[in-house]
Formats: sequence, structure tokens, C-alpha cells
Amino acid sequence: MFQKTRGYKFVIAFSSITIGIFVIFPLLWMFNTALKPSTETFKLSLFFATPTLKNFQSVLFDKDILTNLGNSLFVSFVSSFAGTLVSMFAGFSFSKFRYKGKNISMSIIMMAQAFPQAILLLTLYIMMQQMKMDGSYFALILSYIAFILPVGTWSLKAYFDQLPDALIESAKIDGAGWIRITFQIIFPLAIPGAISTAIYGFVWSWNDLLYSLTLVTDASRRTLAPGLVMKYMGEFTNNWSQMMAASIFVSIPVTLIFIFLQKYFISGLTSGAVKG
Amino acid sequence: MKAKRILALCMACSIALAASGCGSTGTASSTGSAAAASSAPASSKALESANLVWAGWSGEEKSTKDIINEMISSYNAKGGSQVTWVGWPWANTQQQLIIRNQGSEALDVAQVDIGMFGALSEMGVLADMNDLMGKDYLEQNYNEAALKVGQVDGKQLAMPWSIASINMVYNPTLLKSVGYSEPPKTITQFEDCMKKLKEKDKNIIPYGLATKDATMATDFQPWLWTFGGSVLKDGQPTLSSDAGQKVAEWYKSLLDKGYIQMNITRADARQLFAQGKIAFYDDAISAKGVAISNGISKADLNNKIKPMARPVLKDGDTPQSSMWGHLLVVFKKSQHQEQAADFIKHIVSQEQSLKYFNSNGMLPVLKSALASDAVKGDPWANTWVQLTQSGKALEFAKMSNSGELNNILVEELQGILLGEKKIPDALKSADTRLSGSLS
Repeated sequence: MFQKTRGYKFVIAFSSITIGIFVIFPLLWMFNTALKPSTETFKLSLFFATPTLKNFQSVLFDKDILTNLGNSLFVSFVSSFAGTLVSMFAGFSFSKFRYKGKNISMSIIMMAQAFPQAILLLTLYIMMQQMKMDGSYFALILSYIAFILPVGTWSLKAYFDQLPDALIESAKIDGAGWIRITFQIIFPLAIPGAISTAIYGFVWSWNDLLYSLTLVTDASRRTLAPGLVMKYMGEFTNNWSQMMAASIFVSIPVTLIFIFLQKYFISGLTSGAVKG
Repeated sequence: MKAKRILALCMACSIALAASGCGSTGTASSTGSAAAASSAPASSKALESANLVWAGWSGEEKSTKDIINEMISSYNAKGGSQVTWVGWPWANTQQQLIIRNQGSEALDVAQVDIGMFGALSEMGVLADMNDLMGKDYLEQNYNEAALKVGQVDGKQLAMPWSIASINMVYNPTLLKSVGYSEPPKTITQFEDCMKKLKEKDKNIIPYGLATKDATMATDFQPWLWTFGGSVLKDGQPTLSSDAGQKVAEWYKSLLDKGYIQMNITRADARQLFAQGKIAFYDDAISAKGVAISNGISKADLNNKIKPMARPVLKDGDTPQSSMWGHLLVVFKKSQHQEQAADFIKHIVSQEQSLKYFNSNGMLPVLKSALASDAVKGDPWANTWVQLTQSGKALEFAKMSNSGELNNILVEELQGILLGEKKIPDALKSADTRLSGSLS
């Protein structure tokens, strides 16, 4: 492939350091701000001079944030699971079946991804209201599924495309019905792709602010993003120190999930990239 | 065919399962919460009792949450209409009110700020308070300048709740240290004071002028007025006028001398001011409360923050300031507009507005409340009342695309300050772009 010359090594090292600075520096600054008192927020100083854990303490014992955290976990898990499940069926259908309107259906699903979120929000909000679902977790979960589906369906279709049709034919010859083929043969093989979609869906739902603000107004059902903004970003003051501490604290679940499942995520993303 | 049916069934089941899994969490929304309040006893007043929804942001913020709850509970305790609160962050309130007016949600009353009012009034979704409260009642009881803020084409589309102009505040201790026992009154004195402050301590930013976000555009306008200019004349942009040229040159000179700094927002200026790193900045009447929450002790307030009139070009000129405040609106869609107006009267009543004033320093608008000892005996509030007399509405305030117009102004001003554009070119470009967006 490539010869590891000095120039090659320099380019790799330079690129890694540059990317590393852009990725890691904001995170380090987040920690730095979270570990300083709020009066020091705007000082270009490191936390060593006046370190404090007060910001983390106030976040850990804040009932509202813990409620928001629980809501976010519930909504993100359910929408990610349901979105992935539906994407698996849709992806499998698009990949292995021939029927009229397949290509149009695939294009329509892809088009949904092209619309700006804010435009879809108006339609979804009015729809949820008319169905008397606004204010419920369900409104939020359905909206998130709508956003997970296009990417999930297409990436899982690419995954299913890699599975040889001979597998299905052999199972049929052995007497397996479609339900058995789907659940015992095909879906288990698509688990890495499904996990990749699930992670995508989870992170999407976890980070959403706009839909959560609009569709859920009851404080007891509020998810993390609007919860944190409402708590720390006011009209007159912004509590950056506590905001940073809270952001670090609430990013732990997503980080853990990603760490444990990253190999599936990467293999799921790259599936179908190289035919062979 | 059989296979397709089975797969279709599976897909339907997965959706149904997801639905049943979370459907039990209930569907109480803002309107749902309002419905919950329907058990209140019927009003003994002429007005039929109703369930009202009040939307805004102050009921979500730590500093004002309690007083807003108190306003609601004291009204609900009267036994008539029952009010419930729906809130969002301040920065998202305009967007949410617009979205909700596209749908069928029954919002009755909303808190808006001057910046949000323009977009909502142009949407045609606001009820006329003259019809709901009576023009005579409004004129007799409320400050005329405050009422004007909520007027569009002769209609009173918003009720002022707390109105005061954006003025400058200064740090008396810092100014004393460079020989200024009183704040500068003219621009020459202002520049001299900033020069001395910078010479005394290089780390000080003498003036925390907003150089970022929409605030840069809104803070620019009073300075433009000070130099005798305006952004618009007869509806046409006039930034490339002599006054526009002069104020732009002045801005650039302040940056070149290190008296102002790039990338400063209002929030940054507040924090740095509280740390004694900024000597002057522009803010609302609530600046005192903000200073306390940013670490200035109550005992030290008089030494650390005082309001001042914006310096003028020459003695005898009127100090300029832009109007700022919170307004209350009733939506046309509300099925209980009269009850909503009655609730607004409760919020702006002397009793409630003085409680609000004592809690966070927001000025009342009711004439009798403004004349009360509580307001008159408060030097901070009194100065602000005086400074507000000459306050003017921001020139884009009542335009639905004020955000877009402010952005144009900010981009061109930043271009000048960063040396990316020559001043005449940037001002001409601003005029052309504004003209395009205004038409």
C-alpha cells in the first residue's frame, strides 16, 4: 500500500495532532470550565488555581436534572429500538424482495431526510395535536423514529445486500418459513448493522432540543437538552460552569454506550462500502 | 405474497408495540394541564370563568420562577378563571409562539420581549387591547411611552409589563481611580476616561460594547442616533450618511485603541464587569440583579455599578437610549380573550407589579405604581425612569424580519472592525442589503 517514508509519517502525525486539537481542546476546556467557580469562567486560566467540585455536586444532586436524565434515557432507548426494528424490516424488504413501487418508496424515504428538521416539525406538531398526542412521550418517540428511519433503512438495506440470496434459498430448501428465515437467519446476521443504526438513533434522540421543546411542555416529561438550557441559559445570566458540569455528567451514558458498541458501529457504517 | 403479508404484519406490530410501550405515559400537554385546573370554583364576577394558558420564559428561570408562580396562584385564589403556565427558554420563546400559532394550541396570554413582538404583530395573531380593556382605561392608567411600545397602526397589540430603556452602567470605583467622580457626559470625556483606564491597567476593557450577536446591532443604534444619524429614513436605509460614516470610524478607533474588544456579548460584558475587568457597558434595568448573581455583594453595589446617561456628542444634546422591556399579549385564537385581559390587569396591577419590582427590579408601567414610594425611593430605579424618558424604539423592532436585518448590520459592522472592509464600502453594502431585505 503506502510506503512509510518520513514525509508520510510527518503528514500522519501532523494530521493527527491537528484533528486531535480541534476535537480534544473543546472537551478539555469544558472540563476546565466545569472545575472552576462561575466567577472565573471568563478568565483565560486553568482550573488548578481555584479548583472546585461544587458545579458537579450541584448537578448530581439536582432532582430536575435527574428527572430529565431518566426521561432522556427512556425516550432515546425506546425510539432507538423501535426505529431500528422498523428500519430492519424496511431494509430487508427493499433488499431481498421485488415488488411494484419499491424504488419510489425508497426514494420517498430518502427524501424525508432531505427536509430541514424545522419544516418537518411544523407538520409533525400539527399532526400530533390533531391526534391528541402532543405533550406525551409518544409524540417525541414517533418523531425521532421518523428521523431514524431514512438513514436506518438505507444503511440496513446496504447491510442486507451483502448477505447472499443463496442463504435464503438454502433455508427455503431446508423447509424454513419466512418468519424463521427473517428472525433466525437474516436478522441475527444483521446485528452489527442494527447496532450501528440503534446508536445513531440513540444519539439523535439524546441530542434533540427543538422537537423536545415543542412537543413536550410538561416539566416532568422534559428531556435533557431542553432541561439543561432552561436551567442554565437564562435571559440575563448564563451559568456556564454548571452547564459544562451537567453536560459532562449527562454525556457519560452516551459515551459508555459508544465505547462498548463502537466496533459494531464502525462495521455497520462501512458495510456495503466495498463489494466483494 | 404470504411473505409480504407477514412482513407487513411484523412492521405494524413493531409500531404498535412502541406505541403501547409509551402511550401509558399520558398526553397531558399545556392544554391538558389547563384542563386539570378546571375544577376551580366558578367566578363570582361578571366574566365567566375559564382555563387560561400563560406562556413565556420568566416562569422557567430561577430568578423569577417564584414571583411568576405567586402571580398565578394569587389570581387563581380569587376563584375565577384558572391560569396555568407553559414555558420555554428565553431564546426559543419566539420560535415556539410562532409554531404554536400555526397549530391549534389554545394559548391565551404570552410574555414577549420587544424583539419578539415585531414578528408576532406582523403575523396578525394578536388581539387589540383597546378592544379588550378600553382605550380610555389604558390611557388613564398607563404611562404613554410604555403603551407606545405595544402599538402598531393605532392598535394596542401588546400590553407593556415592564418597560425601561437600555442604558449604560459604569463602575464608580474604577472611574474614581482615574479621577472621574462622575460618569463622563460627552464623547470627548468618555474617550478621555477610557484612555486613562487603559493606561492605568492594560488588562481592562474600558467599554464592554457588544461586538457579537444581534446585540451588536441593537447597541449600535443609540450611538448612531447620538451622532445624529439613523438606520432608516422614510423607510430607506441611510447608513452611508455622514453620521453613519462618523460612528463607524469612531467604533474602529475605539477598537484600534483597545477601548473595546471583539467577540464580546452582553453576557460576557456582564461577567467581566462583575470581575472589575470592564468599566462601562450597556444593559437593561435588571443589570443590578445580574451583577449580584455574578458575584458583586449587595453591600458593595453602590461602589461597583451605577446607571448613567449615554455620553452625547456636545453639551445640551439629549442622551440616547433604545427601549427595552417585556410585554404581554393576548392571542386572537384565544377563546377567552376577556378573561385573558383580566389576568393581564392582575399581573400589571400595583400590588403585583411592585412585588415584581421588589423581587427583580423590573419597573412597573402603571402610573400609580411608578409614583409609589417603593419606586421613587429607589435611586437606581429613579435614574432609570429619568433615562427612559428619551428612549426610542429600535428601528427594526416592529419588523417581522428584524433578526435578518440585525444580522446584516452585525456582519457589515464586524467587517469594518476586523478591517475586512473599508468603511464606505461596508456601509454602502449594508444599505444595499438592508434595502433588499426591507422590500
